[in-house]
Amino acid sequence: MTATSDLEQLHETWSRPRTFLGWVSDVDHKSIGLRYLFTALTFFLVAGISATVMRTQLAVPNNDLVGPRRYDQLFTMHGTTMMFLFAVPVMQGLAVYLVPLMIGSRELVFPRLNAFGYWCYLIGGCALWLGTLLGHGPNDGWFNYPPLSLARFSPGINIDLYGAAVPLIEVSAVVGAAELIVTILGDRAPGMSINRMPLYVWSVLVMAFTVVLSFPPLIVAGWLLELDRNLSTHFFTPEGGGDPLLWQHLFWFFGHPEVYVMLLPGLGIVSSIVATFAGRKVVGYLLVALSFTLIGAISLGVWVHHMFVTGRSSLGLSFFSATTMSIAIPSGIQIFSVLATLRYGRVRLGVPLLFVLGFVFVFVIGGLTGVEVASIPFDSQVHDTYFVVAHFHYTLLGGVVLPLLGGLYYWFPRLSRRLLDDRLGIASFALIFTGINVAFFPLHIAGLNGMPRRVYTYPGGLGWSTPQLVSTIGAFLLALGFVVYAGNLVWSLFRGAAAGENPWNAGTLEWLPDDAFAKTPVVADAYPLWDGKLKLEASQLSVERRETLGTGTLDALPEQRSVEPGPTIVPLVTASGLAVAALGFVFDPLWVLVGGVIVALALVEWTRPAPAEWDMDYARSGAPGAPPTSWVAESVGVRPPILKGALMLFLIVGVMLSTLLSGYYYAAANAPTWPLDGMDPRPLLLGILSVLLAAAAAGALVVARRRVRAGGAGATWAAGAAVASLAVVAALIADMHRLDYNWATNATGSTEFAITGFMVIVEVALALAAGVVAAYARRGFFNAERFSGLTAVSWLSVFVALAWLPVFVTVYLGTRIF
Amino acid sequence: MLLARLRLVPLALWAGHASIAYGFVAVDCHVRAFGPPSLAPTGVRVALIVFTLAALAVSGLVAVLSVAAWRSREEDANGRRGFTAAFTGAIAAASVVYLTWSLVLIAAADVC
Repeated sequence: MTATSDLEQLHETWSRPRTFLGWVSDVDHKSIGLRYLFTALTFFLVAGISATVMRTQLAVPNNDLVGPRRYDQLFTMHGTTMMFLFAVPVMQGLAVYLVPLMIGSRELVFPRLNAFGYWCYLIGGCALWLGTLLGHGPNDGWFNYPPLSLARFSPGINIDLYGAAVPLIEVSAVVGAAELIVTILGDRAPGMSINRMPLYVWSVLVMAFTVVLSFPPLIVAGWLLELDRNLSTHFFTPEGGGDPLLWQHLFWFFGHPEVYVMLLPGLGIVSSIVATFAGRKVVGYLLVALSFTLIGAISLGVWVHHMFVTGRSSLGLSFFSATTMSIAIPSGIQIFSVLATLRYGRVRLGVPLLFVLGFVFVFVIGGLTGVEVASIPFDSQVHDTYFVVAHFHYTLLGGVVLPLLGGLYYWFPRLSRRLLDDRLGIASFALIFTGINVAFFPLHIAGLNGMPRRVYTYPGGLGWSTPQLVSTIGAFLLALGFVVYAGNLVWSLFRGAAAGENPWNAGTLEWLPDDAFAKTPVVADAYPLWDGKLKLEASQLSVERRETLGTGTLDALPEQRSVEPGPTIVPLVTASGLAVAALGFVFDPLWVLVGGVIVALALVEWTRPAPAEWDMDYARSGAPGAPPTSWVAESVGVRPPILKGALMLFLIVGVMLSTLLSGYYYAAANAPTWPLDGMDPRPLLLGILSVLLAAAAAGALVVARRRVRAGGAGATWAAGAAVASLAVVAALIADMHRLDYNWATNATGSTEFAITGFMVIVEVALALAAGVVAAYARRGFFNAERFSGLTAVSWLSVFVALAWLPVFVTVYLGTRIF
Repeated sequence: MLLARLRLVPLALWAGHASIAYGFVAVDCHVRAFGPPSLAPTGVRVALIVFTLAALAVSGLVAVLSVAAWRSREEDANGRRGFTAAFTGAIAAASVVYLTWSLVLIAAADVC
């Protein structure tokens, strides 16, 4: 084939049908990324409208524009939307679009998972806002603290909507993060060793790890809250031995890292813009990458600073005060890197750089007040006042929104091949920058004057009226700025000047011409378009199927070719099933079963190989000298993406299980006696049987894999593992059935049943996976060359068997130990 | 080889130290509120100091190994080995600073 026909074939291979079904089946990272961006910006608009209504209400004392009930829903949905539906998804959407382009890959590693995440997000977000428009929106704040959020004090479905939809949305964030990690660590262009990754990609990598470690606890917490509200469990109800503060721990273990999850990509965007507009590499590449990592790591150890006034021990709090203050060091490195890069570069003052300069000013103010509220005595005085509102708006608008707006301006030509209008860009920046400072600086004063947050109105004469009025004027300036910015986007999309391939003369790979898609970029620097050493080599990837090049984690040497799936409706069906389970639970717990069956069937279809994939010649095929496909890579000692994905799954499930175990020990430590109410310890027999059966399932799958690898058949062993896993489920259910207490008895019963219930779900999933690989093994899909699917399931079984150890010690021995 | 295995440990120590130390103090204070048995304040401090010193030893070891790896790097055409050694060493050093500061807190602050 000629080069032109190769390119045409490649575009044909990577295209989708131009029909509605084709649209909902699309799994391409650029399409999904744009959908994330559009959806998140729509939610941003809605949350912004709710903010202007609140600011209008607060403009003058004793105002009655909005009543207290409506105001509660407004501030709850403003925070919930900004945090769950805008800031995280918009950053993730941008990453989904840009990361493959920046690392020289044709696609994310798990495109169907990417689409699944988007559908979860869209369904969850729409459910939240549909409920709000019908008058049933969440109304207890975005943090949703019990006991106010328990059924006794919030009897409507408002909070159920939160407890069902928010975990669904966070599932989207977690799967998105997992696929970004595997892609970044295994799909970079040859030569892009870990020290040559664009800094934006570094920021996304750390952000993704932070998501994987910190978001699962909120998913679990949301489920526990729903159980408390609908099945009378006692995780957060003091009368049953639960503790409302457990929610605060779980929520803020997620909630504070979430701030950095939003901030980190913002810092990455800043690094990209500054380098381009200073015309030089960012000063201190190593230190900037290091500071991203430190910010991500430290963010996991600061959550208790949201609980300084909850009466915890002073020494315990002091650790969190110290870690919170220490985060100023890596944040400071970022700021100094920006300033030094500008100082030593040849600066062009483009509009994206204006937003970066705005970021420096606003974020530094937010950071300084952050150090102040990290001090326990100071925080005790300003806690829950408008000072905190001012602080976090400075941080989030400065660290997230301004870089994002700069980033959208910067990458708009890459997204649309058109330039934004600079006059409108400057006007929008001026309005937004002025609006931020006029809207939020006065709130520091209102807070220091003692004005509490979350009040729908206030009396005059307390020194609060003027700051509130000025703040409202600023909010409208800010809103006007966003309107001008949005108008610029829409106008330029249709009428903007043609941008050309690389209008800013940037140095990273996303600015390669579209035709470079057909080549393999080989890089020798973090800014490959600047160093003159970039090679575009003839690709060894097929043009007739969706192949991406897999490379090593640290040195990015070519290792394998992954064949990615094309358009499919399965991700939408799976997300719909999960939504049926999550949202249906609000009305009847039986919907969980219906949703579970849909998800299970969809996953079976998800794992079904395409007809051509049964042919080993097809599985091996490739250009002479090309690396092996990921189907057979494991047989030559290369770890394929499915196994890296399995490791991410274990990490996520491990964090969820750890959350449940932590809940158990938290309840036990808080109780005067354990088990509560003089309950008898759980009989050991069925617990021991469960552990042995789980170990047997793991052993059977390990044997199945070894047999297949040696050229034999492993179907029977894999089927045996499925049966053993089902036997564990039966043993657990029998065990729960014969006890003289249940989940509703007290916190001991609730925590025990939650852990064993979780293990039931895990064992059912393992049984399903083992059954599927047994079926494929029996039909000859696995052989001595291709067995990675079997390896993944055998790893899962070993992981589950190991997970049984802390579960057994906790559930069966815990009441004997305490 | 040892450095490759320990590379991420200082990060985990930094993030985990505050949580574990906090949990330990919180549990002890709660238990004490319900009466004995509990560790005396001195016992709590000693346990925390031992834990922190152990963490310090590991972080210090990683820092030293990183410096050695950075100095002795060979065949580092793409600069990756030097980068990872410097990266790991800097994180380990930062972890050492945090843990040292924690020792001051443990010695000086009220336990409950």
